[in-house]
Amino acid sequence: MPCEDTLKIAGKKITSRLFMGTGKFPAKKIIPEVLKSARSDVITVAVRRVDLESKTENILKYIPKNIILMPNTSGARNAAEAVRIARIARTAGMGNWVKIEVISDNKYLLPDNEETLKAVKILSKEGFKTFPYMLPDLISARRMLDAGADAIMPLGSPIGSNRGLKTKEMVRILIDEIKLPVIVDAGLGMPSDAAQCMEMGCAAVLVNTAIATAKNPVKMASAFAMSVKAGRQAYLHSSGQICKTARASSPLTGFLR
Amino acid sequence: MKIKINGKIHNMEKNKTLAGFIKSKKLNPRNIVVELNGTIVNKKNYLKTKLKEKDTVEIISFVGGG
Repeated sequence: MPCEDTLKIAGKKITSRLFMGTGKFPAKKIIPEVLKSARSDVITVAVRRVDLESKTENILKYIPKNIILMPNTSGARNAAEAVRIARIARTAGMGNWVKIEVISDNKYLLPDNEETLKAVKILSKEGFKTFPYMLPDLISARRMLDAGADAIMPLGSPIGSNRGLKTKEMVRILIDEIKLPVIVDAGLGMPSDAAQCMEMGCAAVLVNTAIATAKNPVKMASAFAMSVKAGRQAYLHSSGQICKTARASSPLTGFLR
Repeated sequence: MKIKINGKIHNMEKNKTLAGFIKSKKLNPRNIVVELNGTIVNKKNYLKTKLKEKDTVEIISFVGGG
């Protein structure tokens, strides 16, 4: 039994296995309190054009200094666009972690593994720590590993759908076969979904919509934090035994008959 | 002169610097990244970067995202 269960990714020690997205919050000013409640070390942000006609709030104002910022390349429709966004983010002082997200399907927002892989290859060579958001496909995941990815981020179900871990069997194969942290990203709607990922052996989960759009995001962040911890503990310590028939818990001798 | 900024054509007086434009839009240089004709401009160079006819400028910042 490990006395310390710290996640190491891209040379950094991460204490919380709950990564959080910062989109869709009704008011940005609640983000610090939500982060405190989630205890997240890693959060994602997006890169966008400034709206020159109206004053837009700067998200970074609400992010505590000790948090690892992971810009995503959302909005990128191909590898070239993802690479451009990643470089912009790094130039802006975002560090070198990047969640590579390449999407050309607007209905289900499913990632394009082929273009994502191209971006991983380019950005890893440039010294980025790359976290590809991907369809949970073993062969693609092997290629991501060879291309220099630091972790893989398979989806649970479509972004923002809250449908949970619909890709369970495919994610299980990735955990079994790929020697990289597996972080389920997208679609986790309830703490039980997150716990399920952790019980299977995922290294972490990334949650955004389920927390940001909750009636009370602070409390929901706390619920997710507890479930991630519970799931991880169960993964480390459960017997994993499942039987078709009963196995008595009480002694089968000394009955009062 | 005409300059494309964030996809829209803006009319601007000649010899305007990047720093001048940023100030006129009340943007905080610390919160933005500027790309001029596809190349990221170092913040130190905003003052000496003069905008020219048909330049393409992208002004970018960080927003909430998953």
